[in-house]
Amino acid sequence: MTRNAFLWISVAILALYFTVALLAPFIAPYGATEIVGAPLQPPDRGHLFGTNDVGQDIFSQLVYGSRVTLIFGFCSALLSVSISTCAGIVLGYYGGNIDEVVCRILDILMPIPIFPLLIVLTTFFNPGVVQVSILMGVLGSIHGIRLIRAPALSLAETPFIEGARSIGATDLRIMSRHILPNLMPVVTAKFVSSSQHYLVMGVGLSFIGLWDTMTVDWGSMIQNAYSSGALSLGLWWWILPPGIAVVGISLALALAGYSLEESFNPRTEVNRI
Amino acid sequence: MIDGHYLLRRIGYSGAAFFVCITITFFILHLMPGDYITNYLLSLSHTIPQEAVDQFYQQYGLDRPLGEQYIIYICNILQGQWGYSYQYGLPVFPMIMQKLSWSLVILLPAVLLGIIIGIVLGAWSGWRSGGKKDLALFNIMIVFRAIPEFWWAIMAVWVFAFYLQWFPLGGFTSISVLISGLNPWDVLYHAILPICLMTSFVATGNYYMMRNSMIAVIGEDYITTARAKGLDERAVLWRHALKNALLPMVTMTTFQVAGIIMGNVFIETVFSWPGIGLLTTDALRMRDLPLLEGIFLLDALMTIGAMLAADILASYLDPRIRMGDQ
Amino acid sequence: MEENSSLKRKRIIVYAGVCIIVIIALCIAAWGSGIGNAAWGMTKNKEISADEVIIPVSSSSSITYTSNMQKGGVPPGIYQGLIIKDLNGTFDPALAKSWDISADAKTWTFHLARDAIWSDGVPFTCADVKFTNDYMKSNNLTLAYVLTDVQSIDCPDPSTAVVTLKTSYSGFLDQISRQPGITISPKHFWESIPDPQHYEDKQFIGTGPFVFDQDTAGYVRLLRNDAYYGKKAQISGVVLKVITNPDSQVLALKNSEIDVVSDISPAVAKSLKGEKDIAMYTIKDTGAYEVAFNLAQYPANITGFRKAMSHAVDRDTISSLFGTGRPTETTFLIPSLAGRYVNPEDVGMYTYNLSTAREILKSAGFTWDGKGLLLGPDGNVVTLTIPLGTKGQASGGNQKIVSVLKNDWEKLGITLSTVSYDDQKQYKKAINANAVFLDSFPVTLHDDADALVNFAVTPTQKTNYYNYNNPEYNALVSTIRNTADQQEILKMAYQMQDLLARDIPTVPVCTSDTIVAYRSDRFTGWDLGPGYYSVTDPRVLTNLTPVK
Repeated sequence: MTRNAFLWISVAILALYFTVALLAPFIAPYGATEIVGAPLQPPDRGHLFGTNDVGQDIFSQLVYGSRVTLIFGFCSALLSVSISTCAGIVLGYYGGNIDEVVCRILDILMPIPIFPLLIVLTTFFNPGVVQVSILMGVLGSIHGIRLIRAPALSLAETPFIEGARSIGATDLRIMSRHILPNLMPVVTAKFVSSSQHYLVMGVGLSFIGLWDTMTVDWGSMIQNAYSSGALSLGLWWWILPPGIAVVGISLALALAGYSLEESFNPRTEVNRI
Repeated sequence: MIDGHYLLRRIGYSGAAFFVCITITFFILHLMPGDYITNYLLSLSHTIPQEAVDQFYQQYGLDRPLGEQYIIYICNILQGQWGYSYQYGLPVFPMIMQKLSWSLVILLPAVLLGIIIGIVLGAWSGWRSGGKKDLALFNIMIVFRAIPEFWWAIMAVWVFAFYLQWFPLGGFTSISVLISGLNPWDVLYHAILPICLMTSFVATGNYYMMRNSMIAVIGEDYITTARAKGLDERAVLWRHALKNALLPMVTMTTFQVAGIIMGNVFIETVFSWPGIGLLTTDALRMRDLPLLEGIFLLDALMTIGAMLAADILASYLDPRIRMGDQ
Repeated sequence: MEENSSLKRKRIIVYAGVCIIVIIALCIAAWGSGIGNAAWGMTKNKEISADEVIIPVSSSSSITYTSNMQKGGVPPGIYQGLIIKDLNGTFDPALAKSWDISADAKTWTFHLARDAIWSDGVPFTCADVKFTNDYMKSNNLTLAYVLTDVQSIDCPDPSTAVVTLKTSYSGFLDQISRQPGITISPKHFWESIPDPQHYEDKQFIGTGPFVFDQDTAGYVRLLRNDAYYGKKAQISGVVLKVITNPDSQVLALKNSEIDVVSDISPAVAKSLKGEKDIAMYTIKDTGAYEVAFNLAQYPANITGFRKAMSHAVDRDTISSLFGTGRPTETTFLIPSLAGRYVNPEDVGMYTYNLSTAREILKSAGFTWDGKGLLLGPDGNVVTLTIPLGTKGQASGGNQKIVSVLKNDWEKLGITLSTVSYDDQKQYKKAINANAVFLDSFPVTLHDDADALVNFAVTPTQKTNYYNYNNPEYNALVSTIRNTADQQEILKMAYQMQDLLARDIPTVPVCTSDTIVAYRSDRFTGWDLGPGYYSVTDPRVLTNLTPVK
């Protein structure tokens, strides 16, 4: 199978996930927090994956949980990549003193441990999906700026950009019309790999219980099953579905990311964040 | 070979980074909502006696203005005093080192093995890039990497510890430790499952970077020339390609070694391995500020130290490259 | 080319050298602290004695405290207080064999055990009791707040301690024996230590039935105190083992690695039924839940609203979701523990009936709009937010209550949402800003007339969580503090319950039980009946007998 085939398969999987998230109210037979039956029912016709310890339908939770998990992964990746792209292009294009100063600041910020800092910062807000994904996006962008800056810097010095400047194009126009399109492959690949990374990180944060335990998402579903006896009772239909859902989307994103990287630029290394 | 001025500047610069780092963490931690004493009193009973709260604030100087607290904190740090944990009443530094030592039992072998395995497989894969075996290995690695760590851990515990009962369910050692002391084999037996998981995780990351680096190197002119000259493939691989491909890995692996001080909270959670990762989340839940400050401080020290070492090393080895000084 | 390659060779050698140095440094650091301190034995594994009981604990922080003077939680059975809290407002003797109370409840005389000795051989005397009070206060230890009411302690003779309180306080025994309580510390040990807050106690000198042996790598071991003055333990020791995940604890019990697991879920209990050599028992009513109102916030400031909502809590369904415990029909949260203090006239007044709730809402000035949404007397839609604290097991219970409330209250046209807080201070703030909150009480708190003080405003308690401030109620509370006569106290407790039933600052929901599973092939004697809620209670541990 070729890279391209992998790419299309992963795009199809992603489309499936998004459809489920968008159409959640039509797909899920019950509400995410609605109590619909006796606790810990095994799977049957009414409940595809049975019920959890509160008597909520696990299948419905899985469907609604996709929303939180997807919003989290993609919003923070979008924010992070947008910030680092804008900053990277501006720095690379203007260069000089601004570039120097910002790079020094970045150097100073780099050693601050991101993961624990993120956990600390979430306590400032009422732990919620949107706030945490914004925080994660902003913090994560620090590492992306340099990645975009380097190719932007070399692009800015090419004759092609010099030419655009000499015919009187404004800086904004050059950056948005000439530099950005040339960087799109790197940006896209970075976006895909970032969303995979953030998505997994978000599920992980939720798994160790560091945000709102009342939010229904895959991480909290796994945590709930894991700490309430799903393993010792052998209730595989409780713990496996959210886990497989996470693995599925993470795999699709990873495949898409690597395929994109290779098809755009077979020899560039794009750092994983 | 090394320029004194350059060295001094690098050190001064690292000092500044360290200072900014601890300043940011100090203010973020102290502005964090919630406090230790409320959590502690409520864990004991249902009331919050105001006199106990006031007394605690006064004892730990928390009633003073934040700026004053900051100056006191910086002075203490400069004198090497990291303070006492609210929760345990113990000096912070030995506490962190004790937990860290247990984390290292897992992380040190895992990171080292992971780096070696990742580099070896990555080099092989990169050298054979495009071949069937390379693609197969590459895809396996992608799949490995895409599955979250905690999910690997849960599944491993479920299968190997619960169903097959090949390994213990968690913890450092068997109960015989109370009679006969720590037995290295027993500790290893308890650590082997988490070590394997961590190793595979670190290895996949390094594999990917090493493969990329290798692919980039074999595209270079001198490799093509060497191959064209009819030199033995193996000699080209060992003499030229491998060495050059390893260079970009130097910085990355330095950071990985520095980064292990934060522990791995997922692995520690699932394997009941109370190391530094669990200590951090626990301290955060209880708002144990001195302990958190200590952990962040140590981490900043390690990371900045690693950066400095990598920089100086690079400039010592190759005066033409000076990082951050282009 | 040649020069270049030698440069590279050198580079790699230096790099490898640096790596090795870092690793060696880390190893030295690791050995110097922690692991290196523990004895390493290459000898063959020896088993611990068969009659040591192995009990799992969920976190290492719960068993490794530096100083018993500062912290509440220390390994069980080492330290003792003067008395131990028991069922129904009674007290078991510990270091005090008996006690007298003056008529004004201001002077308490404790007759101490004459044969008690510290685990290092020094006899226990009244001087230790006096020292504990003075030392805790002079060193500003946090737990000293428990002794705030104590004016002074005097020792007329070595085995008598006279405690004089600042003001009359009939609940003093309860104060020093319920959580966190006060344990007596050895004078001869602590008097030479100037800074107890930062002192790491490694000896744990106590008077209890067990003595501290060691704390190694996730285990704490206690041994039987053979010189104990009271009922000696029949087991030779206790080992506490850290297992963080409750599920792993159950698996470990099945594998016979541990001897007991407390607090298992009803589903797990069901699955363990029939398992060979595993037996179970239930400790009734170890937790209690309430739907509470904040009387300072709209709409909970309207008595009609609270009254209506008291009929909209489906406690039977909630209780069935819990799977253990029973619905609470009284104003007391744990009626079985309040015992004779329960006023029979106030039992069963908050029956679940949504149409009753609707009627009461209507008569209190509430209306409904076209979509069936509830409109308050001010004409606006009523929406409620319930803040949830995510501490411990209570969060699971709260989730169940919320999901039932959501279903029912939506039928009344009320939109319910929740916000979670992981920090207690933020949570308490949120309680104060919202009309409805959920609360849960462990068994250690809410169990006699003195517990009703929670609803009062007194000089020492300027506000309560319910913002309930009824002068009549407050007056009763201050009288009850100064009363030593049990009949009088009972009468006033009845009156207080009448007031609570009328004003409804809270709606008790249900209680929960604790299910304990243990290896019946190892030890018997776990089940001491209601009230012994913890498997590490020293009274439970001294009651155990090995099977073989």
